[in-house]
Amino acid sequence: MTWLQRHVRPEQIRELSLLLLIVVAIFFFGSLIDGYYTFRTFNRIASSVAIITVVAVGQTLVVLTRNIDLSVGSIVGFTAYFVGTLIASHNSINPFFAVAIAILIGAALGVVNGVLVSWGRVPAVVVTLGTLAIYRGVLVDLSGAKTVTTDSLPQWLIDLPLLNVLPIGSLDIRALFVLALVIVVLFHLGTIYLSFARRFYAIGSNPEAAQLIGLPMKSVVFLAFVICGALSGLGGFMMLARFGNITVEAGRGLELSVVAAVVVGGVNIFGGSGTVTGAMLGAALIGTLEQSLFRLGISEFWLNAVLGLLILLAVASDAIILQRLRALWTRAELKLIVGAPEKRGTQP
Amino acid sequence: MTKTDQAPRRALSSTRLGARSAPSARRRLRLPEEAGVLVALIVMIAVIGFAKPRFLNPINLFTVLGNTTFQGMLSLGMVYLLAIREIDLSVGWMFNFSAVVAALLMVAGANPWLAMIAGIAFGALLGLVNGLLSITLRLPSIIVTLGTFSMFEGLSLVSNNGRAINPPDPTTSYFTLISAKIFGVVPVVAIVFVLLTVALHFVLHRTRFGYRVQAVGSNPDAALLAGIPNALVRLQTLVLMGVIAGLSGSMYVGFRGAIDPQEGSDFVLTVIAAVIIGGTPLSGGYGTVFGAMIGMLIIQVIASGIIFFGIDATWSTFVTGAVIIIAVVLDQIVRYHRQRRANAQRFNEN
Amino acid sequence: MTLDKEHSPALDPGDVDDGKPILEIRGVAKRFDGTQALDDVSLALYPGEIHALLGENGAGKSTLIKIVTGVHQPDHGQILLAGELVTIRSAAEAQRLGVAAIYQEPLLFPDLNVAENIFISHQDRGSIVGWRRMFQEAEAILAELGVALDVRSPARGLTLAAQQSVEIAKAISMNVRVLIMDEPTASLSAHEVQQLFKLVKDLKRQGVAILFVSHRMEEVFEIADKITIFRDGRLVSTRRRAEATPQRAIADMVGREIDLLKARPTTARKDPILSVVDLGRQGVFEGVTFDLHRGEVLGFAGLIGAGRTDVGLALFGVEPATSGTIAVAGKPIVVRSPREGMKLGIAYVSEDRRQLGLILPMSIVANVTLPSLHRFLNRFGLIRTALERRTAESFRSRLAIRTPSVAVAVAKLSGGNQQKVLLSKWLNTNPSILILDEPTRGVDVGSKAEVHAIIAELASEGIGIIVISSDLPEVLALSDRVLVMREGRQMAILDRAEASQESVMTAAMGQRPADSASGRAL
Repeated sequence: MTWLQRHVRPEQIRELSLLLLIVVAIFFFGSLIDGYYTFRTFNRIASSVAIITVVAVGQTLVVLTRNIDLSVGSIVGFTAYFVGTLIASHNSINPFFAVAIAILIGAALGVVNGVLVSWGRVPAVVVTLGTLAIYRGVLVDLSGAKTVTTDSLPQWLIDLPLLNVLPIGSLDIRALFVLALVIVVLFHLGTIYLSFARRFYAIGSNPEAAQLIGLPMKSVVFLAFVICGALSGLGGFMMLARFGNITVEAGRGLELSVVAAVVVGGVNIFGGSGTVTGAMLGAALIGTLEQSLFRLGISEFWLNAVLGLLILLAVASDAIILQRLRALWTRAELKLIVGAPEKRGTQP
Repeated sequence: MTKTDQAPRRALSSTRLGARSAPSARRRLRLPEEAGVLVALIVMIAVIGFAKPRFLNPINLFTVLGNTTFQGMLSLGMVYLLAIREIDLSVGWMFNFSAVVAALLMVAGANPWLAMIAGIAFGALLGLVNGLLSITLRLPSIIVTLGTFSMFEGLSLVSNNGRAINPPDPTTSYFTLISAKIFGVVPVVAIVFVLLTVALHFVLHRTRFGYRVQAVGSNPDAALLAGIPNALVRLQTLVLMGVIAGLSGSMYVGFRGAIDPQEGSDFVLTVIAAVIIGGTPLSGGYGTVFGAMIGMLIIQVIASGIIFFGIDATWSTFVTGAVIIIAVVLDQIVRYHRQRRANAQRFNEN
Repeated sequence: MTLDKEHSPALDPGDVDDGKPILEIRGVAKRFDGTQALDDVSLALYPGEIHALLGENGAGKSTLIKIVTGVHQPDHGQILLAGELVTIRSAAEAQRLGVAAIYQEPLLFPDLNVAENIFISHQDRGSIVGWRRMFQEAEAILAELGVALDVRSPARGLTLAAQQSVEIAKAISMNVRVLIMDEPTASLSAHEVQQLFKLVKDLKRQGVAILFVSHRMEEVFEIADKITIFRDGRLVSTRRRAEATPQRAIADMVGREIDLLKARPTTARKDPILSVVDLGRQGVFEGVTFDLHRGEVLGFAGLIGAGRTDVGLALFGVEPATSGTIAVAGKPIVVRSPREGMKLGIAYVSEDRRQLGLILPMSIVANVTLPSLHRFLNRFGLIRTALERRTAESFRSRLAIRTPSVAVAVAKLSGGNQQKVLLSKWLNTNPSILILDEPTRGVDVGSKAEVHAIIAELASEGIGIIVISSDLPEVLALSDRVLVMREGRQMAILDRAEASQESVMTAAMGQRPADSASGRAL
């Protein structure tokens, strides 16, 4: 067993390999698109990544508990539309109040998911496929097919995505991106240092043991859905700020990008392991792919098809890389163990 | 559903249904559960019929059955998938894409019957794509089909340019036969649905493939040790789902005479919910084909009941979704309590 | 001391030198859907005492444990903890009261690290995780136990023995007063069992009361202070170790005398059915060479981890060999998968009944016919259910599988009957070579004898049988010859005359005969 293998886990190397994948993707698209290496591209990608990241952080918590939330796209669209309508009709509304409303709407929708999964005992796939349709249905029904338009919004909201928080030379680090980073850092620390957050891992890792030692499984799963909803609400607000124009279709299909980001980012789809930073890297890759394909200027129908394929490729190559790494590590461990055979079980 | 489930379950299993299926161990264990759902369906029809007697008109009831056909057929394939611990979120778009391909072939002048066969084959191809992606890349099918959901959607919209496809001359034998009603009451598609249900029930419980599906879904490691080629069985199951989606899609073109660009995009929830209400667990190990059919009928009865009670049509998406979820919640709670009793019993034997 | 006289007939009621009991169960009864799982059971547990619980599967041991740990509620009776009447409604509440349980399969969280697993159910450590303090405290506890484990590494991949050490550390960290151990040794090697016993004795010295459930008689008599026997939900007897004998204990358990370990008359014939030369799998085992004759039982002995199971898996093609040759009935062959193994007439009955052997929710019929379904198809490809059922029924009577019907899900059967179903499943493939891996693990005494009789009968029919077992008396009683492995290498093949507990253990430990002292350990 090499020094490297003893001190670094395969999961950590995989996060590095993910960075590598992002770099490869950037070079690939850079060679296809003229004027790709500009700050404008960076900003576009960054603000798209920001939204995916924030929602992916919430999704990570849900997936850690061995569940899944497929309704995030609808929650994002729902909050973006209704907060947009609210701000459009009350232009003088306090910005922080508006953000709070977005988070609350999202959290309320998350509560519905959480209650149905935890206390309704319905599998999360079914619940969130249902609420995906229901939330979107309510949105379509209530909106009367009207849209929120940029000119109805107050100036601060239109300026928000352009707000330059941290100028490094001529590179802008903009507000939404910083917001996403702050969320990632907060939740990363939270998942490591908060006792109750460790329960997300415990429950996904071994639900039977969690039940037996009396962890409050239902409330933990419920909480995961509520946080995921709240962050999706925030994502909805970010989408409103970024686009200004919000139709009832806003956020449709986002769940694919988010789940893909989480899986590519190394969160085990069967629960128990994965990190928030990994999910952010996954979001960065997916966001880069999305925006770059968009820049390629292919038709919107093709975009769906190619994006679906690329995401699958990303997930697959990630899975294969991890498998190889794990195999390397196991082989090294096996060599160690054969030296001390009494410690070894005979599992096939 | 909660109340009707219990008492009749025992009575039915021990008398009529039990006696008929005496030789088969598996069926005797399964049937009680299907009987419970069946009773729920009958009660539901009775309740709606009591309030709105028009609902009980055979023509109306058979129309309901006819309307369930297309999603209903998909739910039969989904039973196999859940039984083997897989899932396919892309069914709706497999249905749509196969329908679009069949319709485009008809537009291009192909014989509609040949176009239907091509549609089925195309569905199989889509299922094969799902299966190969899942098996060669070793990815969970939930991830793969979330990705192919978007792929099939995109490709389908590319092929029809986002417009409905209307095959020419809807008076040929294909269209008239598929949209016909026998005695003016029973839709032909409903008969196909019922026949397919019976066939797939037998495949699941009386063939080697069906046994293998349940064995792999229940304990993949043990199945492998018993010499079962797990990967092949999973691939076959995903292809089967594609074949059924292709059949359903091609028949839909014959039934409606056209395929809209978004048709099928929202099928997956109804399909999975029907399978779960029918008694097939998401955790795999066994499935009930009749249960899925009854589950689909329950959902469809509720949906058309909503119309009979005159609920505003703009709210129907919401109400249908909500009703599906409530139905599954009630069903899961009943199952949970039954399971607990069963567990308590098992603990004592250990 | 309030042990009811009529329920502890063998213990001298005048004997009161034990002080006050820490846990007292009075007249507890529990009924499940028509079965009396526990019937008026009274039991007292004293600090610093190891109290063994023996009984066949279904005798009520598990139910009692589940009541004490709060998983089930008793219908009647009382539980007193340190003299106070308590109601234990959940496992968490039991832990708060200082009652913890360790199971055969440790319940750890594979993705959390060792330290986190130790402290997972502590409610009083604040809402911020102090990692450094937690690591230090975990290290301290493990050091006290004399266990070398990296507290920062995830629990995934720990050996069963290491996992059990973590469970014990967990119990200690909670200041446990009563520790229940439900078959903790079932999957441990002799060496690991000794380590575990050292820990248990430490706990005992610290005044913890230990309720120890095991099927292994030798262990019980090695470690227990008192032995209580359950049968059919009733407490049959409680005796001090000095007053108990294994024969009496078994008689109490089954309600009849059982002659357990009579050597099987040999039925080996001359012609080899399986010849293995220099078989190896890289990094796992090497240099395995033996002949298996028709009608012969070849025992595989060795410590857990010696590579015995790996040889079995290689012969069946689960994890194919990478070197050496295999010949079946004189014909050289290659096995790359279980399918190929089956075609060659090899059957492998796994040690892990639940994970690798049976499809628990499926019926006995379906399990028995699963590997040989091709023989049950009619010409339309449909399964001939009547034939299937007849086959299952014939195995049911041949192997005396006790079940209300062959349509019952295998999950509902006892361990012994599950083992018989598993055997039926593989016998139904008509094997000429049968590999049995730990055929009696977790099987109660009565069924064990039956399984042994079945093995003898199969051998007399001419099947070549390999028995891999950690139960040394079993290997010696069944085998015509014993192959001993150690650290992935074949150490010796001993024939009947040479094989004894001492000679086998000597080879298994890699020692010279002179300093062989641990023959008793298995």
